[in-house]
Amino acid sequence: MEPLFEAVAVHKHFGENEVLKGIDVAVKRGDVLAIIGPSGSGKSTLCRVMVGLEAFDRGELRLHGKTLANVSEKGRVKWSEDSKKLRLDIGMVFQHFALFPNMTVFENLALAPRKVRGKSQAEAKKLATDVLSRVHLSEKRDAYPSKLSGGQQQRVAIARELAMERAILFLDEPTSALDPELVREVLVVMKELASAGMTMVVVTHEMSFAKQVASWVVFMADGEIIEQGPPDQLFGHPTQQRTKDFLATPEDLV
Amino acid sequence: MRPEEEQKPEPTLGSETDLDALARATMVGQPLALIKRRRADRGAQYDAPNMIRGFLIVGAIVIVVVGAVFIGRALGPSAPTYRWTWSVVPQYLPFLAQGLGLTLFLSVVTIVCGMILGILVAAAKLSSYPPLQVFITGYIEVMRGTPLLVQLVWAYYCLPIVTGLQLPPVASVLVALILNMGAFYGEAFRAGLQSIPRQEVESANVLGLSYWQQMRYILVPQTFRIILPVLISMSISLFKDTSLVAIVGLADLMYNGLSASVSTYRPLEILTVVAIFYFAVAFPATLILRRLELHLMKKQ
Repeated sequence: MEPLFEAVAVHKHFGENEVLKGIDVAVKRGDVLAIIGPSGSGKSTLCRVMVGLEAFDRGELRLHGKTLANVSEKGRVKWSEDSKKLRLDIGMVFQHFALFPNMTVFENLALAPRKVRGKSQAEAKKLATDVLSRVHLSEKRDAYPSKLSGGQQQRVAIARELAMERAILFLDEPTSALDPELVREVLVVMKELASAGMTMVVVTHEMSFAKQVASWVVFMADGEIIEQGPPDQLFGHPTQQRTKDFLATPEDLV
Repeated sequence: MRPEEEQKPEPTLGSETDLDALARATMVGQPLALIKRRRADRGAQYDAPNMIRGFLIVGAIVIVVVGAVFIGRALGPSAPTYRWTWSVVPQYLPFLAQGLGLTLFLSVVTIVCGMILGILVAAAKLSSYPPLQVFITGYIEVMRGTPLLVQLVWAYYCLPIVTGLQLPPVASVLVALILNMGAFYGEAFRAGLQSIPRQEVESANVLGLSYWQQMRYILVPQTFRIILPVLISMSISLFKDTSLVAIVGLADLMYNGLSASVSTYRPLEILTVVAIFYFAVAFPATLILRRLELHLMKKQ
């Protein structure tokens, strides 16, 4: 099956520092790809490059088998002609939720569907009701984000992407900014999305989530993919020493 | 199973403190608890109702003025001979009110147009196009670095000579006022825009919202809320600074006050009334605008 989304040989540097040294990632429809690795390994940068928030120096992004962006001879990112429309299929959930605090939950959900997708007020309403129930927050429809817990805010952020009917969703450390007791509710929602067939790329530190939910795990360090494979294999029988070191849990130390 | 709904506790303002416990334990403490509760409802800086605040402020002003007069009399080298003749004032009230009309017109037009210009100035200053940035920075610095009075005179006398453009007096004065306030509002908007977390803009980009949609729905409303206190005090200042247009002979409140002073030989009485006119507009305006501010704060 042809990949839904592909990053091909993506390179990026900040000044002297090469943060992505030729990364290849392919995501098939329905895949849940977990990207793990130590901090500073470039996994968040990769995520930002793939959604188009960050420029890259070499390589190509592909969506639905079509070129989305590549790099011109001058070293500038060149977006394809239909990229504006194509990119609407790519969603992103941020570490710090990035909800719009001047709007209610409903307004957050309805803004882009209405203004970008051109939905009517009635359609947007139906969409919002639908996606809110998918993240179990139907009763928070008219609340302002500041009245919600971190976990609830992150679920609204996920719902906002669902309302845009994305083909693929990138989540950049979606639970890293949350208090420990709020992590679970977000992971539960993500797990439900995965079983509903949502294609996701998750940069995460939640190893148990990666183990249970991911269909493919990528381990990155120093801007390179060190090892990748299905979770059973990567967590159960890592072949690379760096992977073994990274996966050595604190419990193993004592 | 769906996870438990977790409600984060309200920010510390409303939480139980030793002070609350003390307040509840003693009868004397009850009013204290009431004030605290109210403070928690409204946000920390606003602890007394507006009306009481208003009376307190007016009272303080009266005490200062009366006190100054008495101290002056006590310490003065000779007994004062000035005799206040308030009877000259009433016949000039319509004339002064007419001037106030122009003052209000200039203020409102300048505030509205200046804010629109300010948003554009901020957008230009934050653009990624260097020539525009340099141009806007130059404009802001010139406006901030020269006195409004000079700018008014320049727009009124020099502009027609240099450019050959003959504007009606009110228009040329408005040009100076709006350009001046546009720079100041612009800097306030820029500061406000920059205080909005970057991720919000990034998520708006990923959502596919255009630059102007982001401005219209996300950035400007939030910025407006953040910098509202600054905008209010700038606008009140501007209202008073319009009195500078008297220098080019526009019949605003100040100018009419000056001419009434000249024709009555009673500047003290007339100008005191002029001051009261300004105050009578500026002070209630601050009270009303503070209410608006509180209302907006509560909404989020």
